Amino acid sequence: MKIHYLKMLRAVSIVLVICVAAPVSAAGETLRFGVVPQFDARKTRMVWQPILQSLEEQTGIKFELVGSPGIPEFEKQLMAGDFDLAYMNPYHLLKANEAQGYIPLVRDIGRTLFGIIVTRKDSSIRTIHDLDGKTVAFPAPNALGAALIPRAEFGESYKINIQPAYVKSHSSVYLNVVTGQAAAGGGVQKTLQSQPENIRNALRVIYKTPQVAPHPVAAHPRIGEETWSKISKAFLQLGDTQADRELLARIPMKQAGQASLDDYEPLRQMGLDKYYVH
Amino acid sequence: MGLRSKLLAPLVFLGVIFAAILHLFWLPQYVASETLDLQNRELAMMEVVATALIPPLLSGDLAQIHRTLDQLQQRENNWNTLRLKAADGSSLYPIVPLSPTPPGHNNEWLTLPIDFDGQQIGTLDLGIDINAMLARQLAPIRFLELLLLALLLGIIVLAAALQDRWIRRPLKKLADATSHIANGNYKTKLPKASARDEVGKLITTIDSMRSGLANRETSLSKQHALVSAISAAQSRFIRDADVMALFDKLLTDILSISDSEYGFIGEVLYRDDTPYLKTLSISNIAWDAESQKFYAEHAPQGLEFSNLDSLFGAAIKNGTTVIANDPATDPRSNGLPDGHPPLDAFLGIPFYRGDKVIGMFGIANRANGYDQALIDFLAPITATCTQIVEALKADRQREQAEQQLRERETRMRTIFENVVDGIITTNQKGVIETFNHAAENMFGYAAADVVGKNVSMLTPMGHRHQHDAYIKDYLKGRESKIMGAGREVEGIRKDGSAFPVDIAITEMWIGEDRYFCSIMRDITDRKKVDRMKNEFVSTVSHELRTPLTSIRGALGLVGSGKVGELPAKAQPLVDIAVKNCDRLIRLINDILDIEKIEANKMEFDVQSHDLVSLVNNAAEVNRVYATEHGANIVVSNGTPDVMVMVDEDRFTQVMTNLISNAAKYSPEGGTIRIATQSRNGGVRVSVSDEGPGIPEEFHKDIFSKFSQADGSDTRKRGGSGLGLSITRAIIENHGGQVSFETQDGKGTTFHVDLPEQAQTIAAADSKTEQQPGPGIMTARILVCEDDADVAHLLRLLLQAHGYVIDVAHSVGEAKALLATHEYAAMTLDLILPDQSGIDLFHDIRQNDKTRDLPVIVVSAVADREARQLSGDAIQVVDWIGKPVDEHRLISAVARSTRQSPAAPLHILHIEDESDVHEIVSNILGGTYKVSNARTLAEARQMLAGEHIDLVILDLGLPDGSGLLLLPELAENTPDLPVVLFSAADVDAKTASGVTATLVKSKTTNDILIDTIHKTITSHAGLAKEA
Repeated sequence: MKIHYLKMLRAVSIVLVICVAAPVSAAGETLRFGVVPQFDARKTRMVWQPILQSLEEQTGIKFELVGSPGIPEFEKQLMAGDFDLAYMNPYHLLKANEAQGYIPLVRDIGRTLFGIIVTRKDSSIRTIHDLDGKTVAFPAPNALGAALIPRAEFGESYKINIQPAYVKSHSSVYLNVVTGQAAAGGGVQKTLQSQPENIRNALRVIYKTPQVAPHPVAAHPRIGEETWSKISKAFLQLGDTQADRELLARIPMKQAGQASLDDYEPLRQMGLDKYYVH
Repeated sequence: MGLRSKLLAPLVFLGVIFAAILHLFWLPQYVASETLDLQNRELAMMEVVATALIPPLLSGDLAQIHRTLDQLQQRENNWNTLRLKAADGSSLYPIVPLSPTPPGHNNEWLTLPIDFDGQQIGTLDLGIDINAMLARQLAPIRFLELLLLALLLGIIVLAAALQDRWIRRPLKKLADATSHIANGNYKTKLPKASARDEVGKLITTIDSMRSGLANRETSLSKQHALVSAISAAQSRFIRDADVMALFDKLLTDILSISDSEYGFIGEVLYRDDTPYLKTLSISNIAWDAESQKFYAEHAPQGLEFSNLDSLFGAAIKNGTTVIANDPATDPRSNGLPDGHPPLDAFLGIPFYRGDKVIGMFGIANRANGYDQALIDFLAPITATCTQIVEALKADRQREQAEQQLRERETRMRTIFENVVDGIITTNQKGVIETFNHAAENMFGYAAADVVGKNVSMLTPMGHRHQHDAYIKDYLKGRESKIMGAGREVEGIRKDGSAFPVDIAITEMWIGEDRYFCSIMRDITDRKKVDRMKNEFVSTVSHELRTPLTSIRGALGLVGSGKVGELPAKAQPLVDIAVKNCDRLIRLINDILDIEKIEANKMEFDVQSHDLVSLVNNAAEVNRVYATEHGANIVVSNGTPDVMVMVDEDRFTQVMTNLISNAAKYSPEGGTIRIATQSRNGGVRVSVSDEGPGIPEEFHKDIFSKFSQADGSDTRKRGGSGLGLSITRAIIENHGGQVSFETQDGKGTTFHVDLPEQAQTIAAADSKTEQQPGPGIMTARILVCEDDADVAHLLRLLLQAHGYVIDVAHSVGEAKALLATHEYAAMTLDLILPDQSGIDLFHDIRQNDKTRDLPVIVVSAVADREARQLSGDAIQVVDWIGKPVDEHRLISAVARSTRQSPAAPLHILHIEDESDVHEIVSNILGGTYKVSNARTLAEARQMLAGEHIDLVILDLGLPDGSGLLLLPELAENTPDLPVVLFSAADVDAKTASGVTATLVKSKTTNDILIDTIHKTITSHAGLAKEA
């Protein structure tokens, strides 16, 4: 994203906030909670509904879980300030913050987000430099850890050109690499670990991206600080009970902690806008 | 192959076929089609999958692909191996190295290229275990197959079991039963025929067949018994003479066949036309000692029953079959003698020959009585009995006949052996079959020596083939030269001596074969007598004839005025002498003829002659004689152009005899009628006179020798009395007959019947008459005569002597003919229509051409005119008055025609009797030069030395028979004509060697001249021609 765009976005978001905030300011209204569609709608619901329920119980605020058909739609909604609250990836946060001023409330402080580059175990590719001119599989161009960051790295840090293949899912990435369709593939440790043994065993991680704070739950400023603090607190309290911890673990959030924008500064530094595909 | 196999075979066969079709055709096809379906299904599925795979393929979303394919593979049990390859062939799914292939193998790989936008973006491979899949498909099919097989086997077993029960077992039982029946066991058990099907029917039929067979066998055996009885009887009859035993056996057989108790067979014989029965065999039913004795004594010869008032008598009397099944009440029965065994039923069957009863048999006491069926059944044996009885009778008759025949034969044989004449029988080929005792004596052979040999061995060589030839000719149907009576042949005795045999051969037919029976008589003695007789005759003829010739010749000459005029008183005396001489000559000739006839020595020169000319000639010859007796001859011709085979001279002799007889007995001015007619395939010449007829008492002797109707008439009538017997003999020898009809006071007719072309039995080789044909004699004579009959007569006369005749009926004609032809002589009638003959005569004499033509005046007014012409120096050869004296005419003509040659012809008369020679030279001297030779030697000399034109030869010469000269003459001077002039009649053979023969005393002077002239001129003609 270009900077001029951010400016524009800011303006728009202000307007939108006003538009949106007004209704929100009214007491006892439902907050629209958007979730980045990492999983399918059902799973998303399954994960977040109990949490929101719990939050509801705790805060007494009604939440409406809003699904998004796909990431582009989510991004659009997000940028439009459709959501009062949203769980999103770090990049979205930055953008949403720029556009609408979304403020990160909580995040998993138990882990960090980073991407990996894998190749076949018998591949001759050892370093990122070996990937120059090769096909590298990514799930989607904007997948933060799996694709966006590595791509920015390739371009900015390693200054190599690669042929990206956006193969829709992490599993695909790994399969593409294993079947030789791609010389390497970008993914995350978590998804790699969840692959079947034969695939896992057939792959080798050749690179880890710098780490980044994981997905936050962010609030639109229009809901007001009071609200967001309440929610934030509630959220954090969720981490107290075992049951709730289990709920949160499903997000996945190992450990809920306070999130701040500064956590995501290094991400900003990465210059991902250039590589973000709209 | 058993029935079971046969019945089941089709089933099995069909089953196998069905199974084969199922398994080998249908199943594979099914499998193939299922496989195809499967494949197609899978392929279709794969296509769907492929289509689903296109987006992830395009986007590279291998996870999606893997998820999808994993799911598929899991879901699809059949999908053993699923592979996805990228466009470059690298494997996208599953991960290489491949997951281990599940157990079971992929035997089918389906490959589907995944295309997008015309480009292949990947390949989906599917490995499936078709077989496993199919197996699942086919399992039910296999099951079905097995089920069908099981079903088939079940059906077969069931069928086999049922067949066994319903068909095979009953049939086997039936087969066993029928084989028993075939072996004659009719009591064998048959299987039950409960079913209504074919097998049941078969059983029922066989059952009825069995009973039928049993019945038939019984009846056949009965018939067999019958036939055996018959054939036994017949062969016995043929074999044995023991007739009684035969009938006994026959009776026994009849009784057993007819299931009867007792009976008899008997013959029906006749005594005075009443029939009675004589038994040939009778059962011994004697019931007591007396009857036993009676039976023992009489039964073998046959018991006789004359009383026919009984059941069996009824059969004989009425000739019908008698059935009496209740004899007690039967009216025909006459009761039985006391003690006779009971008679419960009786059957009597008569035997017939034609409509006569010749025998019968009677049988009694058949259980249940007798019926027509039994009678019919017994018919063959009845017939046999009939035949045997008949044969018996026939045998008896035959024996009798044979006995009679034997007796007769013995009698005949005795006769045969004891006749005096030899009797020889031969077969067609001449092989001797019988040779009687007399023949044995005659020939000196024993019968055994000659029987079986050819009869020709009994004749000498020279005659043998003659005899065979005669037989052969006869067999071929030609005239029999030897058949009939009285042939004389020569026989040869065993010792080689020959002897004359008189043989009469007849043919006889025995059955269809021809045999010849010859009866022979040794006629040596007779021959001797004959020879003696002949010698006597020839002596007599010679001794008598020679002087007579002289006497007659001399008298003739004197009487005819040729040697000078007689004193008036002398003439009648000489005439008397001449006449009586003639009479004597005739008598002698007749006697000799008779002799010849009786000796069968008369020879006939049989030729074919026109009957009418013969008759006419005879009439002419005898006309003068008839006229002398005041009768005239009228000839009527009823057979123009009819030919007869006769000896001309002899026929003429016959005619002469009949005509002279007619003339002798004709009244003054009477007419003698001679008629010819065809009759019964032959001809009849009839000579009728108007005389007194032949008296009744003379009829039977008329043809006898020396018989004349009226002894007192003899001298007046003249004749020797031998004429008719000679006539008859001659005619009979010609195969004809002489008969007569007479009416007292009206006249007599004699008939001569001849077969047309009559054949004579004793014809010898025919003598060829040397007829000078017209070509040889060229002398042409002109007859000038206006009377047609006379002209015709003259023509005939002259033509008969070989002259060519022209007839002129007028002077004009005569002159014309004279101008155009050369004539050697002419006859002239003085009375001619247009001119006087005398005038013609003068004209002729004035014509240079005809100046020297000899003229013979033949005229009724000869004498008168002669005086008229006597003054002229004319040459009239002769004056002949009418009626014409033939010989005189001929002589005249001959003389005149002979005058042409320059020198008179020279005749050599070989004769030892000077008187005879004197006569001959007187007769011939005027015309010819006549020399005499008295002996053969002299003759030879003269023949050698001088030119002789003709020889007159006497046979009786001092130095040998004139015949000896003949061969010499034939050799030296073959053209020299020879005239035999002898006292003896000459036989044909000798006659054939000479030109002509004349018999002394038979030959008148004129004949002599005539013959000589003919002979000479014919030869002169020949010479001239040459």
